[in-house]
Amino acid sequence: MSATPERYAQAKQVFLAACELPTEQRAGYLDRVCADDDELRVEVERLLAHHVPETIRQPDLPFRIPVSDSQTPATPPDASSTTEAGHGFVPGTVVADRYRIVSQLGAGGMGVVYRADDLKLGLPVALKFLPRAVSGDSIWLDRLYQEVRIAREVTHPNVCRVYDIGEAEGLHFISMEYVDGENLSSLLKRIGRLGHDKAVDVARQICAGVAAAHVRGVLHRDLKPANIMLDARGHVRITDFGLAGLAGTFKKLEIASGTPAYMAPEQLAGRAVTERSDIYALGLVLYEVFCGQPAFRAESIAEYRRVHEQVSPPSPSEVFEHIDPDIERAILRCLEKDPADRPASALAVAASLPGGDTLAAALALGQTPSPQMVAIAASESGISLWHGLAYLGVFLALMCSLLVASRTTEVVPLEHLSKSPEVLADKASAALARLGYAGETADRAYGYVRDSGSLLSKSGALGERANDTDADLAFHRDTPVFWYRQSPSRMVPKEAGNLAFGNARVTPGDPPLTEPGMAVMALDGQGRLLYLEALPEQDQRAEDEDALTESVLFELAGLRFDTFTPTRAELASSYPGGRPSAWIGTDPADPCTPVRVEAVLRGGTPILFAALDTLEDNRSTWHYGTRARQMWVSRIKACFVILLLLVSAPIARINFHRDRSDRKGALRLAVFVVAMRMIQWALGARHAADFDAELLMLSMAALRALGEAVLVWLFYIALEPYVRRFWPRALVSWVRVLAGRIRDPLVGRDIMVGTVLGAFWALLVRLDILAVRAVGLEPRAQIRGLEVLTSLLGGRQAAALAIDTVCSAVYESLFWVLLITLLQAVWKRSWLTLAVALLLMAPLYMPRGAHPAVSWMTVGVVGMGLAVWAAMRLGLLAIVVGVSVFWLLVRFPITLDAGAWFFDLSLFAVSLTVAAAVCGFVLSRGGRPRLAQ
Amino acid sequence: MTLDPALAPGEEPDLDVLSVHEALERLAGLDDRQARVVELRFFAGMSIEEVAHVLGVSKRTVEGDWTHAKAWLRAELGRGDE
Repeated sequence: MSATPERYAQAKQVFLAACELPTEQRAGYLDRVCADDDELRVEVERLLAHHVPETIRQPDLPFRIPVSDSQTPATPPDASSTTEAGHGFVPGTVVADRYRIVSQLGAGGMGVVYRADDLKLGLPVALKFLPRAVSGDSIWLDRLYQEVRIAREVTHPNVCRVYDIGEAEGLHFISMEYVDGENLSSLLKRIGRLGHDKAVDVARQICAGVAAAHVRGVLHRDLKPANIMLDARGHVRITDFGLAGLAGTFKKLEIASGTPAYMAPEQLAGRAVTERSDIYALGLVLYEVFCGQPAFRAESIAEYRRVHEQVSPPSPSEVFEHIDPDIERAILRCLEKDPADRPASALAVAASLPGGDTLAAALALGQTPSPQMVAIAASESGISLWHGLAYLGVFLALMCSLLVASRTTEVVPLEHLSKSPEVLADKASAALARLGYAGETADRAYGYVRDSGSLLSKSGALGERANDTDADLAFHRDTPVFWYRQSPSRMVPKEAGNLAFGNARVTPGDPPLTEPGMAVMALDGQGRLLYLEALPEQDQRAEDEDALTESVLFELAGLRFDTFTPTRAELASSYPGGRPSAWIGTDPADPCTPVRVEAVLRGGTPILFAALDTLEDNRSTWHYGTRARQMWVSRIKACFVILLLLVSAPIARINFHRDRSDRKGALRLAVFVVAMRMIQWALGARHAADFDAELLMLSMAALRALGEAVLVWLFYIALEPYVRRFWPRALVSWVRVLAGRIRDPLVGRDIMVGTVLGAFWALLVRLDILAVRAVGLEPRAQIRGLEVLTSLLGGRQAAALAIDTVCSAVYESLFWVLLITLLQAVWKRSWLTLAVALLLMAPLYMPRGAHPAVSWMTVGVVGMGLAVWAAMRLGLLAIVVGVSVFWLLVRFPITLDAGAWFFDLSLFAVSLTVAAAVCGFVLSRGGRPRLAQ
Repeated sequence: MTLDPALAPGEEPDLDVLSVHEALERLAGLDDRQARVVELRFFAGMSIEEVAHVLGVSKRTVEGDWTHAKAWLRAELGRGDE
């Protein structure tokens, strides 16, 4: 039945008429009306069977009570019991011996609201009387107490406070904060749209209130303009948390108990209600606040359901064309149909409003902002064109200054490295041929070591002596040393330590010299022989050629044999299978420095030659200290890492289980480390010719990369939450990069600022040298680890170095940020943090200066000061980029001279840096036209 | 508007909210005004007077619509058969 509206209307008419009649007369009436229409009669009887008589009025009680109250307190859909409780207490009535009713404020589904005076405290309150259906039902009362308990937990200036629950005349009421004002719904009806500033202010307050509730796990579920009160001072309070329940505890039916006009599609469809359902309602409220009209207008619940599920609202700018695009974007994001597409929190919505600051809000709430919240903090619109161009301009100016300064200053001691590694290798090979190692050479390898000690300790012949004690065994020219190896067969590194930590390159000591025809040489930058160790093929020459060979060796070493006097062989005295000899003399290039030469010859073929410093340690050790000191430094570093590991592991465990960590971020960082290290290995390693050896190398490299990644992951899980807790701003763009949001204006800005920072530091190093010269001191050679020399090898080694640089920069920056966070947390004063961080870090970096008398100021105070300041001000990503760029610019030789052999390397480093800066600029435009406002 | 005990969860765990919506949709197809009355009374929590005011019809009409709709909905939702 009721297939058509006409039949339906007919049945309705008959039914209503029948209802008017006393029950006993109905049958007769139906007999008359439906005489020949059985269908109609069946339908009307069905309706009558389901008819529950209307409530009756009891004049002596203030409320209407449903007749069926006691049996079925909550029979749907009979809402009459709750909605018409409008005739309540007379003003002046005192209820519960405490509250004097002042006036009725309104009546809603939840009951009647009165303004009352709390006679005990003398304060105005609002009393919300609940329907009798609620008061009489224990299940409902339990729920009610529960909700009041929760609502009381939400204490926020923008949430109407709930005080207590009471009972009067068998009815329960909730006492709550009285807000003397108007609700947003009637305000908007009265004045239309709010003005921009006012609207932003109101919007932010609403967001703050909703966020405060969500933080407590309380959902509003019925957010709408009518539930938002504005007092006379424009202060917003969200009321009616009566509907709120703990997130996740809803039953299906409750979901649909909100107001359909403001209900999220999933709420209407009866699916799970989450914070994001409130965000949807929030979006609709904001729409109305900014546009002055509801996003959706519908005539029925079905239509509401349809539009919420299917229809996109007219975009706010169509309704009000002067709306701020940021606001429009924020509102439309809230109104996404799929909850997952909406902002994750109300704070995120507030943040996307002009001038929004979620992090401040989160910190004010005493919360650790989640990584997602950090990522969406700050404006998304990046920086203005002029700021971008200014940064780019400063960067280019710094790079130009750097290039100009590179004409007169050198970081890599190129005066010693005037020949390219290829030239030196050829020279070494020619020298070996001259010395009788003319056999077939299947493989060669070369590279640099930072100083003689590290080479000598790794080579076989003098290794034991060189490793011994405090006596530093060193070549007489203490410069970076070029080493060269050749072998009649392919050389594959074998040492486990080298495979795992040494990037699997051939080194002077790995693989060891085992095969006749293998040779290791060390040359200085000019190609003069410093050291030779070789295994001769079977005796080819006669013993009487020893003298000739000796003079050739001296010639190759740039020494004059006739000025040297023989002395007792000390170092090589125990060298097996040869005739050791030794001489003392001076270097013609530096007559003040005594030189000791030791050699072992066999049958006219040299198997060992070394031009050494005399054994007294008269060299300056300011840069590196003695090797003993270096060893201590590396031991302390290792202890520090182990200590950090021991501290981090339990913290990481706790953080991981309490879900405080940025697991996704940590995982991505770990994957990044593995990827970078494997690329570095692929580029830099000496790959083996046979499968098994290569597989071994690959697994060692993978093991190493994984181990490193696990450590990084552990540290990140353990320590990052603290940075996020105390200093979330440092992580904003970093978290975005980790989340894959590379194409982000803020990321662009930080990359660009980072390049400026790096270029400035690189220039500072040059200025340091110039300053040392200016005060009449001699700048020291500034060799920053082996990396500086590795870059000279060019090609794949240089590319591998660039990758290593980025990894190291990430670690170093994380360490800085962690240290500064720690200091901030302890002192809570920026200037003190700056000072202490400077005091702690400057000594670590000072030795990199050109002269201690000057460098404490330049590298120490200016450079480190800027570093700490920048870290505090700009955050992690900018520092990572800054340190990467800095290292790139000091590890690679920089020159303007297109004829120099290392011009390509210089070009590589400079163009990589410029590319980073330009890329940062483009990203910072955030997809807007690059050169237009 | 809100927390309407008429839709209280404890009593009707078997009542499917979807079927309520479907019934209301059917009702809207048969008598749009009546569906609107249900919506305003039931979901917006308005009194008879308010609904009459909003819809611009007499109080009497609203009462009729409401009384009939309640019975019809109960019947449609298969309640009251017990």
